[in-house]
Formats: sequence, structure tokens, C-alpha cells
Amino acid sequence: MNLDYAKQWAEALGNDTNAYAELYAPDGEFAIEQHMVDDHMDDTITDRATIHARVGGLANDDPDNGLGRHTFTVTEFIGDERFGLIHWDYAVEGASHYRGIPADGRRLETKGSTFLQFNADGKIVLESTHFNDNPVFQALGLPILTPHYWDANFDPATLVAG
Amino acid sequence: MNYAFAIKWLKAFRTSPEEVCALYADDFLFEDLMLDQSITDKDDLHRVFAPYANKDPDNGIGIHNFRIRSYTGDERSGLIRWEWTPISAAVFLGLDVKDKPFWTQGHTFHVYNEEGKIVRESSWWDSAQVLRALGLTAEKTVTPTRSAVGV
Repeated sequence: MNLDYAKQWAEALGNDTNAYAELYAPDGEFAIEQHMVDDHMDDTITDRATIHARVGGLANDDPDNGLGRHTFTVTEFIGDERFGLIHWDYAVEGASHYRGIPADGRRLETKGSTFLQFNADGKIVLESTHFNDNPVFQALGLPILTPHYWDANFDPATLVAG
Repeated sequence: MNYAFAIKWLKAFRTSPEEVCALYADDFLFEDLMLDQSITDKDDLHRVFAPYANKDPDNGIGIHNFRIRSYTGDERSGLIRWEWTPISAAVFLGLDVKDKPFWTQGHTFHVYNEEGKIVRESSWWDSAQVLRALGLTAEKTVTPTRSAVGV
């Protein structure tokens, strides 16, 4: 695959769940994991009904229902027709909550990555996605710090939130 | 590379910054944007890795137990999926984690040169899991559900 394919995938993720689902291998022959896995029964998507239930909210097009408008903008694809990593920018507007934290509809932005593996038919058999939640958590007031401990003049006293 | 290389990479984390840095080419880009890291300098990379080789369980730096879930790729690029359980760490993300066990999962994409050295690294992981373990609100999924917002 290539950058154009990655853009197609991202466009579908944020706008058209049917089109997104069409990019995947038949039910039972793919795995989607968009966060850590405690229990595959709940955390790994393997069929289209679950795609619609778990991912479909990202394609919401109503700016006023609190689900938010989600935009994924691809910045890079590293890979080929077998597998590859997509780097993307993410923005949400109009969401009442982000991971359960009140967001009051404000615009939130961050980045993320998605690894895709394809079968011989070009269909996705594995999706591994992670969002960088830290900037969003910070924007929503959580006391998250990412101190530059690798800087030569780093002060360890800055490790703990004040 | 392969699963064995992924194990070698993570054992090198635990052994010393010198050993893990030796797996990187002279020209490299190391990125863990979740920790605000975008590094091309070997001295900086040594300091990035230093905490992961800590062997003192009492100094608050923690013992960093990584486990490999899978490797998907070939000899020139691929995805390592991993789990991380820091033991006896005192601070993470600026938060007090002393005596508050947590673990999480992430993935790292590598690109290797002809000599098998890492020239590109892109790491991402689930920080919401860390917050949940500390009792903070951070639901597992970003995806909103209609029931959650009452529509």
C-alpha cells in the first residue's frame, strides 16, 4: 500500500464506517486493536458488527449530538503492499467527553499511529492503533508531565507535578 | 528483523544504555512523541535509555520489565508489540506511582539498514491505562458511543 491508500483508510475511519469496514478481510479473519488488551473478547474487534459498534462513533457527522466530529489526517506511510505504519494527526470538535473526561465540545488535537498488515487480496488482517493521549489529557487539565530527562542539563526536581 | 531481535532489543534496554544504543545506526531518528522525544543524537539516546537499565529496586527509578507480544515484518522493517510493567517506580508522567502497580501495552515500528541497525523508531503506547491504574478517569476507548452521550 502507499500514502494514498493510507489517506483513504483515514478518511473512511473518520467519515464512513461502511467504507472503512470494506477495507478489512472477511469477518473472523482480521483483528483490530485500538487500545491495550485486557481481554480479547472485549478489546479485539474481529467482525463488522463490532466495527460498527466500537468504531462507528468516529464517523459521526452531527456536530451537535456530543459525539464529536473526528478528523484523521495522514502525515506519513512507511511500508509496502504487505504491511506499513501510518502516522496521523487527529482532531475532535464538539465532543462532550474524551475518554470519559468532560471536554465541553472544545477542539482537541493530538497525533497517533496505526500499523496495518494486508493479506494477498490487499485486505487488512491486522490493525494496531495507538493515540497519543498525553497532550489531550494536559489540555483537559490532568497533571501529566513529559519532562526532558534526557537533556544534558536536566533537573530531576522537575519530575513531579507541582 | 524478527521476534528474537525484539527480545535482544529489550534485553539490551535492561542491560545498559551502551548495549541498546549499539543497535542503532549512527544516523537515526528515535521518536516516542508521547514522551516528547524526537532524538537524533547518540548522547541524548544514551540518557533516554539510562532509566531502563536501572537495577536498584529501591531508588524509585523502577525495574522495567518489558515483554514482547509479537513481531510483524521482515529484515528491513516491522512492528514490535510489547507490554511494559515497571516495578517499584516512584514517578511516571509526573504522577506519583509509588506503591501503585500499573502496566500498559504499546507498539514500536522499526526501520533497519543493510547492516541490521535501527535507523528509524516510532513508539506509541496506551497512557490512558496508566491513568486508570492510578484511579483517574480515562476510559479505554476514544470512540464515543451514543449511549454515553444520551443520543
